[in-house]
Amino acid sequence: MLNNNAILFFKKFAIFIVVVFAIDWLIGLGLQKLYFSLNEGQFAETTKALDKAAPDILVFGSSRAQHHYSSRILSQKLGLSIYNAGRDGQFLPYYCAVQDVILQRKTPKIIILDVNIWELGPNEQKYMKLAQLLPYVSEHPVLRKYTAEISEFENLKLISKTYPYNSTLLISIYDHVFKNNEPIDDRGYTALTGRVSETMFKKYSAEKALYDKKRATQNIMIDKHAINYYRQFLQKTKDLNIKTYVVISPTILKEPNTEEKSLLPAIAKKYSNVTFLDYAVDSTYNNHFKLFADEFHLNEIGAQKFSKSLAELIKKDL
Amino acid sequence: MLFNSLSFAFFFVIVTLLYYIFPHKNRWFLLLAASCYFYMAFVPIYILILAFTIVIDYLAGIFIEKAKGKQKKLFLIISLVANIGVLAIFKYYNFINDNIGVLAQALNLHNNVPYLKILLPIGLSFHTFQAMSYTIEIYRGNQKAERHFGVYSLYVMFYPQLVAGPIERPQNILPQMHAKHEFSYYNLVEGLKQMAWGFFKKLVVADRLSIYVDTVFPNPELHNGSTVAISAVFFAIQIYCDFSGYSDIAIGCARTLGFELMTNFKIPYYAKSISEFWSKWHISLSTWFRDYLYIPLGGNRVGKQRHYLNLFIVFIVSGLWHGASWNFIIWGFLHGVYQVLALILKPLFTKFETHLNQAALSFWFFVKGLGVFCLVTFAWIFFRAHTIHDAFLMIKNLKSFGEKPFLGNGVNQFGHCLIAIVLLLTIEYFMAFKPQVKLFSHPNSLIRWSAVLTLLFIILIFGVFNGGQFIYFQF
Repeated sequence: MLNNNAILFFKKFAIFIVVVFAIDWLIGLGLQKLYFSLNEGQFAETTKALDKAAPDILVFGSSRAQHHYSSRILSQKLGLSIYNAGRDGQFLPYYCAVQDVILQRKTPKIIILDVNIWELGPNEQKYMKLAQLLPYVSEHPVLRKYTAEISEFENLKLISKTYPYNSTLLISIYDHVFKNNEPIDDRGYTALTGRVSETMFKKYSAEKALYDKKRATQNIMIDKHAINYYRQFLQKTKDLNIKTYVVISPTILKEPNTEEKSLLPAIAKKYSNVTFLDYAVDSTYNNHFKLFADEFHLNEIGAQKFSKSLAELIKKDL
Repeated sequence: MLFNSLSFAFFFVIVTLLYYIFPHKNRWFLLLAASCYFYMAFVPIYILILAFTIVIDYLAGIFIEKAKGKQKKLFLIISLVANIGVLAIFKYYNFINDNIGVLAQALNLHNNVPYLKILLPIGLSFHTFQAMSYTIEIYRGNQKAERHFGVYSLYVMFYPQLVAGPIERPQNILPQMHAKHEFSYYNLVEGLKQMAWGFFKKLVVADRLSIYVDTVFPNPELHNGSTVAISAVFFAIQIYCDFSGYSDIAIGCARTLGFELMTNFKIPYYAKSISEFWSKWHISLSTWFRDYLYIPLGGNRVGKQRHYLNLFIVFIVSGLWHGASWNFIIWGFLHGVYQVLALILKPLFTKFETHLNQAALSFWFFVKGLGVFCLVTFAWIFFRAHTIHDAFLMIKNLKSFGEKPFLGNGVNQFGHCLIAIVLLLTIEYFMAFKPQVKLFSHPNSLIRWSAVLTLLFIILIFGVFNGGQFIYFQF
């Protein structure tokens, strides 16, 4: 049975827990201030998307959305307000979460969903990365069902005030101290400067050929959960009668038509409000390395060219 | 059930509390039931494999003790065949079949033996080796057979070390299973601190570095020499923190219950020679191979060439223990080469060192330490790469060392990796060279509490909480 030794332990442990919660509250408060006082950078953009954005055109997607859809060009050409909610390294579960929050506030006229060709492939990280939403759960409880995907008992961990800001300290300090040198657009779009050189392009082409060859022999498991998210996203746009464009934006090399890629248009076809556009096989962009900032992203010139062409296409539908 | 999950946190608190509430005579049952639950949280059906080897080894132990002469050996062989047989079926069958297939193809023959579609039971090599050490020690007369079936089952299944060691010896752990453990404030607190240190290694360092490593290793064709070098170094640190972190949590967890498990790691990357590295890395496995393979083969008490051969055999078997793949065999072979080279060069190094003054000697040891780290890291490439082809491709890509490396997700990812490494090296430097500092056990309670709280909040602020699997579970 419990002896004096145990009683001493429990007394000290109780004190320890109180101290931990007090420090947790203080550190959490500090991190929260640091996080929400940012004016630029990825955290500030996420805050704008989740807390403020209420435009006529909404762009969703990963970094390829963020860097490919010029807010200025699309807004000017279509005469509508816009917000680009694309976020670096994110996948369908994140797009659905942000869509849920923004659509509670405003129903846009047009939604552009930029999808990656590997969107429906296996990648555990796509759920882990929902952790970026943790700072917003207290303000937007609808996000709880998404953050629950991160891990078992994830929402229970929110008992800690510090935990939602896990892994944010470094980048918060960085974004406060260092100013962004990239051209700024306060509507979410971030242009990329720089250009892929011919040498880099040749090297990447060789690497990609090896990669595609290897991947063709692998048995790629389709992530059914991601398919459900894809359907959920499109169903929501259909329910609210929002004209939606699902786009695979330009790629530096022509992408092979894998099972995970071919499922994207096949599913989109089932929604009457959705138009599917595949620029990954568009020779206007494929191999035109000068339009790209790196292997995956268009540079500012490429993004402008693409945004103009997309705006013209959408204009015809309006 | 993973140590780095909230489920385990609940499990640990409940089991520890119940342990001290239960009367001593029933504690074995509580721990055994808890261990079964812990194991069944992975793949429940595999508990039957454990049950099979437990029954065989329990009976074999009693029969070996009672038997005389050749019969004694026969019972030992039955026990070893049962244990190695389970390993062979679940771990090596497909690998052997694969290689027979390749050989048959080369000879224009058909190999129609089917593949087994089975998952490797978690931690199989660990508990099998622990079980084998029991019957071998009884055979050698160093251990009495355990008559209490429940206690013997607990010897194999004790949950803190069930799936990834340390691989215990019966002489150390069985007497502890019978002893009455009074509630000890000191053991509980020190155990919790060791667990916290293990969580730091796993969550702050290993799981952070794994994000980078897991991006590079699966696609070596996409990465240049600088990236390969960084990812190899990151993996070397990741696997150390992942495995030694697990060991720290296991040892700390057992300590809260009053059990003392063997030390498994002693800051191995500060080793100045390859043999010193192996005396500090996965000590419970290294000593297992020393006691049950290397010494029976003759160890170093044989001719020079036979000694070298013994080393190669031990390290190649060690490679195979890790996994059924040529990658692991090459990894083991490389370490065999390192060991033999170290033995050949030893007289030369010793002579050289006698000519150095203290400052030069310190620098020389630093260079040697760095050399050991580079050699070990090079071998890790084979250990981590998916295929031998990938490993050689990575090594080939090293020629473009100096090109701009892939920095992952920029500041957030790479910056966190660097912070994690700096924190680890700093704390371990104090542990290795300034042990008198004793931050976490300092006599001044303010310093002690501050150190522990700082560690906890470093974990909370910089840790990766995605429930990443421990690397060594797959072995």
